[in-house]
Amino acid sequence: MTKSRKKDAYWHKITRQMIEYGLKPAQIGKVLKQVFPETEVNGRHIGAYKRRLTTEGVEIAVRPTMSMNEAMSIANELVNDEDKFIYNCSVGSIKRSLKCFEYKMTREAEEVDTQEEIDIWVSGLKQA
Amino acid sequence: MDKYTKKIYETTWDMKTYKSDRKSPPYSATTYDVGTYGVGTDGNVWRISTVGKTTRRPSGYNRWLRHYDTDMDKKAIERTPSAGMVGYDDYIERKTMSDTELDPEMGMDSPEEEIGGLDALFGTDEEGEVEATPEPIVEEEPVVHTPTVISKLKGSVSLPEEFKFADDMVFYTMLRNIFRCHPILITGPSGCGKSSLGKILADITHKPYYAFNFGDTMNPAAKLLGDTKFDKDKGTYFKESRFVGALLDRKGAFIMLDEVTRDRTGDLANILMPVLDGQKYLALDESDDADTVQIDDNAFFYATANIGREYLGAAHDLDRAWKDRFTGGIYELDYLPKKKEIELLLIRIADLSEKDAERICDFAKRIRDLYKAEELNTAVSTRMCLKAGSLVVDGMTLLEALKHTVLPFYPVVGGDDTERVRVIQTIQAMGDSEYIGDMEEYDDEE
Repeated sequence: MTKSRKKDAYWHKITRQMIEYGLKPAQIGKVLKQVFPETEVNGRHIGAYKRRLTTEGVEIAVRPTMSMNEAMSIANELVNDEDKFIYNCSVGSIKRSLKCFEYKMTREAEEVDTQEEIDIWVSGLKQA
Repeated sequence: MDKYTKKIYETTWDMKTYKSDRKSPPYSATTYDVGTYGVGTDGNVWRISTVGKTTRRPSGYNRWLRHYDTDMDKKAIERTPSAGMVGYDDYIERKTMSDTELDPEMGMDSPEEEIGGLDALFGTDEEGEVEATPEPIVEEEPVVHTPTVISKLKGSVSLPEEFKFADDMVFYTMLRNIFRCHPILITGPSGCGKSSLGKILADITHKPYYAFNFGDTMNPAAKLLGDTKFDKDKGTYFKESRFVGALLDRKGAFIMLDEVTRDRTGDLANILMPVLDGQKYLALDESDDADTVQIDDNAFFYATANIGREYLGAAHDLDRAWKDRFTGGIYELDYLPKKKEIELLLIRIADLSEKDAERICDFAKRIRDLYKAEELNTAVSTRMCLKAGSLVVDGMTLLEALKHTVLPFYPVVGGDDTERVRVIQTIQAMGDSEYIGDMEEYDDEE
C-alpha cells in the first residue's frame, strides 16, 4: 500500500496556531483573508487540515481560547517571510495561465485590420 | 520431523499471516489429547483443555489454555517448562538464539522481545533443517514531519505550462533560489526562451523587474555604474545608472542580466564579481574614497548566457570563477518540444494555419537532430520558426520562407558538402508538393 503524501502549504502554520486556539474553520478563513487577501483557501480546506491535525494527535482546544479580534491582531505576526513569498508565488502562478507567455490576449486586444493600411502603402509605392 | 507434524508447521505458518501475536504453542490443539502440556511462544506453559460444551456439541472442542501451578497459599504461580512438553525443543532453541545470536553481550533476555516472530523458527530449507536466521527488531522512531520551502512551494504553487517539458523540481528550485536570493545563470541556445522565462519568474514572484541587456552596450561600466553628463546650469556631473537604482530597491529587485556573454571586454564580470558574491557591494569608481552601493539583501540576479563554441568562439565556456558566483545554480535550457513549439507559433502568429506551424516545427526538429549529431554547427531557434511563420502569413511559400530565414545562418564555403546544402536538402525532403502545385497553377495563370 502506498503511503499518502502530505501536502504542505503557506497557510498551514498560521492555520495550525488558530486551530490550536480553538477557532472554527470559517473564522480562521476570515483571518486568512486578512493576511492573504487573494487566497483561494476556504473553510473546507481548513476543515480538512484540521482533521489531518486531529489524526496526527495535535491537541485542539474544545472552546475558543481567543476572540476573533485578538486573532486578527496577531495574524500578521504569525506569518513569516517564507510564507508571504510562497503566497505571492501561488497567486502569481494562478494569475498567469502562462499559455506560451500569453501573447494571444494582448494581440487580440490590440488587433486592427491592417489591410487598408497595406493598400495605401502599396499605392504610394506605385505612384513613386 | 514426520510428514504430519510438518503439515501442522505449515498450517501454523499460514496462521501467522493473520495472527502474528499468537502466544500459545504453535501446534494444533486437536492433534493432542486433552491435558497435554505445551510451551507457548511466550515461554509460558499451556495445557489443552476442552471448552465450549453445549447441548448441540456436548463434546466441546479443544483449546490451548494457560496453565499455572499453585503455591502453598493456593495462589497461581508460573509453571516452569520441562522436557516432554509439546514445543519444548523450540523453546530451548529460542532461548539459545537469544543468548548467542540476538544479544550476546547482555545474555538472557525475554524471548518475545528478541525473536523476530515465527519466521525465524519455522523457516525450513530443502533438507528440512531449521533455519535460524532471526532479525533483531529495531523500533522505528516516529518521523516528525517538518515543512520545507520546497515542500510548501510544491503544495501551493501550480506548475506553469512552460515547465512541463522539464522536471518540475527545476521550477521549484528556481523559486527557492529567488526566495533565498541566490543568483542563477540560465544557459541555452539562442532563441530558446531564456529571457522570457526570467520575465515569467519575476511576474510570479511579484518582485520589481529590472532588465539589463548586455547585447546592446558598448560600455558595460557605464551601463552598470553610471556616466558623466553635462548640463549648462550644473556643469559636468555624474549620473548613476539604472542598475544602481535597482540594487537599492528596498522591495527586493529581480535583476535580469541578459546576454552576459556578449561582453568581450571582461569589464562586466569584474564589476559584477563583488555584487554576486557575499560581499554584496558595488564601487562606483576606483578611488580609495569611492562611493559604494550596498546591495539590498532581497535583490535577486537572473543571468542568461549562450555557452558554446558557436557563440563564444575559442573561449567556448564562461570563466570558472564567474560561474562559481551563481550559487543558485546553472540551468541549461533546451528548445521547446515540438508540440509546445507548435502551440507557441499558433498563439503568437494569429493567422498561421496549424498545418504550416506543424511543418515549420517539424523542419526545426530535423535540423536540431542534425545539430545534435554534430553534422551542423548551429540549430534552428524558436525565434527563427516565428520569423518563418510570419513570412508564410504574409504570403511567402513555406519553402521560400524557410530558406529566407534559415539559410543565412549556414556557411556556403565547402562546395557541395556544405552545411547549407544539408539544410536545403532537409527543406526539399519535407516534400512541399501542395505548395509546388499551387505555384504551378499560379504560373499557368500568368
